[in-house]
Amino acid sequence: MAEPLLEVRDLTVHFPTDDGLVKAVDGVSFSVARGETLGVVGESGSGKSVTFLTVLGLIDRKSATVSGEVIFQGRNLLELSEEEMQDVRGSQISMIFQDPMTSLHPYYRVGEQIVEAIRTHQNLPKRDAWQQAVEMLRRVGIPRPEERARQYPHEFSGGMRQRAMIAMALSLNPDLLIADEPTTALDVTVQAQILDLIGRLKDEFDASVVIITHDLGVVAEHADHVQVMYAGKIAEYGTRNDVYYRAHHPYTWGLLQSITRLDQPRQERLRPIRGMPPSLIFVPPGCPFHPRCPYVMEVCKTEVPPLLSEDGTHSSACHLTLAEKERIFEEEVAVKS
Amino acid sequence: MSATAPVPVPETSAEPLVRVRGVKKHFPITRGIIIQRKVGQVHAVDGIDLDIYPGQTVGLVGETGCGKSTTARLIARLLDVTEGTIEYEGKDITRLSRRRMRPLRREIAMIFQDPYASLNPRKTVGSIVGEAFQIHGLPGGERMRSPWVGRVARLVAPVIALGALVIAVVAGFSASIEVPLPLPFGLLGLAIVVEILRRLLVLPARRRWSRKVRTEVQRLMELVGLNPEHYNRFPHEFSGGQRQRIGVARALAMRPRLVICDEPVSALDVSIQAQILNLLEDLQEEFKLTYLFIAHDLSVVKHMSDSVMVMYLGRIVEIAPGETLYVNPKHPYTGALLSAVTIPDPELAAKKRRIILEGDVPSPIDPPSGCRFHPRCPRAQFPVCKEDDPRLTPHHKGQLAACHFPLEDRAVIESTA
Amino acid sequence: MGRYLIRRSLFLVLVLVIVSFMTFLIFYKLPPGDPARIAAGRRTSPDIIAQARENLGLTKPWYIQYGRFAKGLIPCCGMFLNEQVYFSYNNFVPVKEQVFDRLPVTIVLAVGASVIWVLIGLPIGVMSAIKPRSARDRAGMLFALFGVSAPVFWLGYVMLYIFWFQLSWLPGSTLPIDETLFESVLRGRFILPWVTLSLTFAAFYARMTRSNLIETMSEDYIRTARAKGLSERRVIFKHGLRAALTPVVTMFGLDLGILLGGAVITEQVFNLPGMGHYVVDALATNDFPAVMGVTVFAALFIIVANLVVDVAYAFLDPRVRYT
Repeated sequence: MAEPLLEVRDLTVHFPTDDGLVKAVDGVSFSVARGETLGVVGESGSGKSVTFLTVLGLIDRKSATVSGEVIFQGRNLLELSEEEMQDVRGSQISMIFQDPMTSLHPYYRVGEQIVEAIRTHQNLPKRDAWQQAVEMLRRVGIPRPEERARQYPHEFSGGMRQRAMIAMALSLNPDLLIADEPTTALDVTVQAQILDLIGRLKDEFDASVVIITHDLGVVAEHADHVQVMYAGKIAEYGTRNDVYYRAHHPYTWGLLQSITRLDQPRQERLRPIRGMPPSLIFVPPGCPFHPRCPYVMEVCKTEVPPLLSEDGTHSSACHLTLAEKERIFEEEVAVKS
Repeated sequence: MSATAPVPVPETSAEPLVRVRGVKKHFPITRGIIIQRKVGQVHAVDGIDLDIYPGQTVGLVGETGCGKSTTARLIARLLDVTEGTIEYEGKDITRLSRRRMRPLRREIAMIFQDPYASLNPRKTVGSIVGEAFQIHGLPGGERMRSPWVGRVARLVAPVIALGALVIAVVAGFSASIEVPLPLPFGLLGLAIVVEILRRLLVLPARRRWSRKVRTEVQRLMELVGLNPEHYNRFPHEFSGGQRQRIGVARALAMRPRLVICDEPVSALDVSIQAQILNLLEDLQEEFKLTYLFIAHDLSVVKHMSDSVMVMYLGRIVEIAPGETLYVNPKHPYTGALLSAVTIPDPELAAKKRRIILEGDVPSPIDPPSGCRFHPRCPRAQFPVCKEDDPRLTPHHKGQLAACHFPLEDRAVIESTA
Repeated sequence: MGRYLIRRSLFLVLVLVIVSFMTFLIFYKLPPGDPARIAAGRRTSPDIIAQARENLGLTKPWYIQYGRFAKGLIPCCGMFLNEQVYFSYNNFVPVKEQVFDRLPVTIVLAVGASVIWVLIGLPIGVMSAIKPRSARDRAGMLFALFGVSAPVFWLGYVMLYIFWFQLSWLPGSTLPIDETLFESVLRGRFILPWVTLSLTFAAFYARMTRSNLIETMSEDYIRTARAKGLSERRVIFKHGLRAALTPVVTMFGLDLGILLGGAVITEQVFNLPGMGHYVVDALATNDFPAVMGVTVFAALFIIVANLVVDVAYAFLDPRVRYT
């Protein structure tokens, strides 16, 4: 197996607050291979965003306790100085965010903001950087990019703004692009365009992509590997087919059963996961999912299940045996055709 | 410009609960130095017909700017139409005055999208849900007696006391003004007497009323799955899903007939969405509610609706019952929407017929000529599509689509049914 | 934008008319004392008073009287603050002359103070905002609290006492008549007035800058800027501060506009012959034309400042467009 592009080992991010210690990320380990798309799925409070903000060093180290390792190109990013991280950000690892409306500075022209990104890392004269910026806008499919580069963000539509963000993120040819809920704030047809664009550019730029989302459908269509997160831990990890056709974690089952789907006939009732998402301050002992799990056993209430791999790369953090997992999935979760 | 063919009629009822014909809503754009002149308008809704039959769930689907939220507000008469008619239970309510409309507001309720913004953060849950009773009275018909008496009565004593104080001060400081000594004391005594009377006579009735309201509100809270003991809590103490339940309880307070749900689950986590959708379905069955369900997520609409309408730029472009829309879409925009929805099944997703649209949704200020969808339509043929605005024409099984070159009979997604 | 400017200019005229009319009402129709009598001087006879009344047009109906003053509002063709009407009762000189005499002093005072308060207030605000709740922040806000609480007259006298009376580092109050304004400035006579006047504003601006910047720094585009790999300094100044300062610029324009109408208390404390001092004297002696003249002048400054600030806003924030 080739060396992974990014390897995260036992990452923990805790925030001490007035109400208590918020364990946003609690012992997370995974890796991203070169040229692949990793889909990270979770609901609010799962820790999916904080994990990657920590990778990029965007979490304030004074207000959070961070431990673990983030290995990227042979270096532990968590040990780098702020200046060294600034070198990495934008040029080797880029991140785009959820709401393109507010993610671009309203006072500067779009072209200027891309040029700023370029000139922070490369010593180009302004004119050349501007040309590059315009070219990037063209590559992300924005028509009349010369004109558009001179416009302000509020003159762009939502989809175009996200395209511009992608252009900015890819302008320095990073090895890794992290997209945090890139399509949540966009219309459905625009979502499809943007995801398509990311997929295409990933190949053109030879980059790896991490898509963070709560939408299981997005990940099914665009990810190679899928990582399901819950309460700051990884619940399940596997290839796309592993997770959708052979899921091994009750939370994944719950998600698959509770979502509305276009590919199935209209059901009588949905099967929601009972209970509420957990508090990150008062995390339940043992397996954090146990209060909501229909298959809970005694051991689940006291012992945290480790993320174990049963077959190849497919791993899940659950005390059920492999046989039980397979059986339950077959009988209760799998979509009958 | 708009067709007269109604929504497919379900087998049961004869008369629609809500009938909308030719409704348009234009928001003017003005410019001018002193006097603002109208230089253009936003064609938010531009000629729609729809029928909602009792007991049904009608789904309304579309993207930003299609006019679905505006439609919801027009039907709920939170906005006035620019043109067209809206009938409720056979009566024309299009231009009813506020006063006349008030009793109908008991029957038409609305649930909003953002559970964080749609609840007044300064009011307790009990107050939010119970507000309808203060205005319309309890469902049994009982009303709060003379609310104005209570409000005025509360002020009388303090005002008299204040008057006494003012007179005393003036008398004390002014040499010229003569004030008989008993006057301020007499006024103070009067204020005390008034206040005692108020507490004896007015307050008990008020308290009885409050208790009745509280009982009813707690019943509603239980109904939607909230703990009735949280009656006095504030919205920020609840999670998103619970807040949406509060919104549902508020909508149901007056036992409405029609509930308009404007994207009720879009802002919620996936695992909570299912809970709220189930709740809505249970309530519909128990109380024989009729829903107008608005969403941008096609799979949610498919789950909830008996029939679906697809909107684009202020018009309805396709109407279809039950599953037909998903199995056999006729309008290319519907096809694109279906193609865009993600499917949590990798193999099925790969087999999906892909229709990716160019560009963004055009502005409703200046809609394209002819068929509004023609600039983005992969099937558009000129000059027809550019010049001729298609009407909603029937296809099989109660399906209507407004297109000159509708899609062939082939599913976009292979259903497993 | 053109349309907008025309509309605003028309409003400007309207406001000037209203302001002047209200001033007229307050001082002309309702005051104690008889303007004619005051104008006629101390030792007069009823005949002279009657004559004065005639000359001042006090016998005419009120709208004609107002009309005469209103004509003096038009800023052109020698009509502005024309001498027939705007003639000081006290000093028997045209108001226009007196105003233009005193205007430079007020301008020097206001502009100097504004420069100082910006140079003090903004950096303190920025320092506080970068590290909220740190020692630096608390010190900055303590200063702000002091500045906001200290009354100008108290501060002025304290400053005079310490720096002039005790330490003799700086000259005292009053501008000697034999010095030009320029010389006065060079001799440092304005330093204490500047500092006194600017302290309160500096405090306000420090607080405002702090809260604006803290808010701006929590916006999404700051996160994007960091994710691009920009240095923290660049993020704070080019992205954060740029957005946070827009309302501060607006306030600055308005404050300066108001001060140009006369920094009354400061001028009194330091005995500076500016517009503020002038109008106080005029009020004390019921010198109505002078009061009217200064009021109109001040109103003009404020309205124009208002307009300039609004237009500037459109340049600062590209999302704002005026039709």
